[in-house]
Amino acid sequence: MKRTNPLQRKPLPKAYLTDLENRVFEALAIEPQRTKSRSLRHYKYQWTIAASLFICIGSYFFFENSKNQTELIEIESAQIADYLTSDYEANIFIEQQLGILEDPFSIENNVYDLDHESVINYLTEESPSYWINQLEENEK
Amino acid sequence: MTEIELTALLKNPQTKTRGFTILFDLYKERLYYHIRSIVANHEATDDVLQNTFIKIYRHIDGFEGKSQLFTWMYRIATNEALNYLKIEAKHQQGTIDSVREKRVLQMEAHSYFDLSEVEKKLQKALDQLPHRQALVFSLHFEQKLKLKEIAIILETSLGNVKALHHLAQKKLKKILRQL
Repeated sequence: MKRTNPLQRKPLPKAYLTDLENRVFEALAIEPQRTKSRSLRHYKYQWTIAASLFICIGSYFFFENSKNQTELIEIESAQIADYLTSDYEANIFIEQQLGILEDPFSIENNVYDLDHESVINYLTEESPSYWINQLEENEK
Repeated sequence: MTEIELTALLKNPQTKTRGFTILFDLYKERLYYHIRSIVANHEATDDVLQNTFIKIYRHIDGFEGKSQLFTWMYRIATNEALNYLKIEAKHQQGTIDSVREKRVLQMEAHSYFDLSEVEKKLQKALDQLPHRQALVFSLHFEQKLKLKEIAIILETSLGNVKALHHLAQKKLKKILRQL
């Protein structure tokens, strides 16, 4: 059971406070000015709606943003994989070419220019889509 | 509303009345009980309280903001109450404490108020204290003010307030046991 503080004064009677107010304001020749007060429940209700709307809108933008981020990451990963694959294949080609160059028999019989065009051609020719394109062109 | 906002309202002539209404609503009961703890009488409290609010309204432009607004108001209320007792003491050719002591004996529940037995006992005990001790005790326990704030209101040192508070507590315990 809550202990009441005996030093805590009771509220003063309304009749007395009204009388006091009348005397004070009359002596000062002014009228009391009070703004319209709303019940606390009204503000609680409005704040609840505002907070809920904010959470909904905020969540929508957050998840939308996260989705875009995920897609971006996926695209980037795919691009990186492509690049790495191309780069890997280019490296294999270059190594092969170097191997051939080092091989006396290859040197004698083959002359390879390791230029950019060779690498591109190699990659292009090794790429499945190249042959598909070639076939399509031939069919035209 | 913060004190700064309220002070701004009070200092602006266009919003002074609105600010004063807010101030009146916020502090009327606290100031009533503060003054009553000094003058120990409802009629006297009523007079002093009315004068206090009138003074606050008329002198708000002089409030420099060096202390808090409520500290400034409490100081006005305290001075008005003590001045009232000084005048009474002069009429009765006594001291402030002798005036308060007489009031203790005459204290009755006013028609506006219905004091509980605890409140009557406490009021009687407070009225038997020297007025400065009663004031410090009342400000600290009833008005919930810090000793530092009380020192500002009474325009005295913190050490002095602590001493008054300690003495008040000691004496009250003794008085309450006897009541």
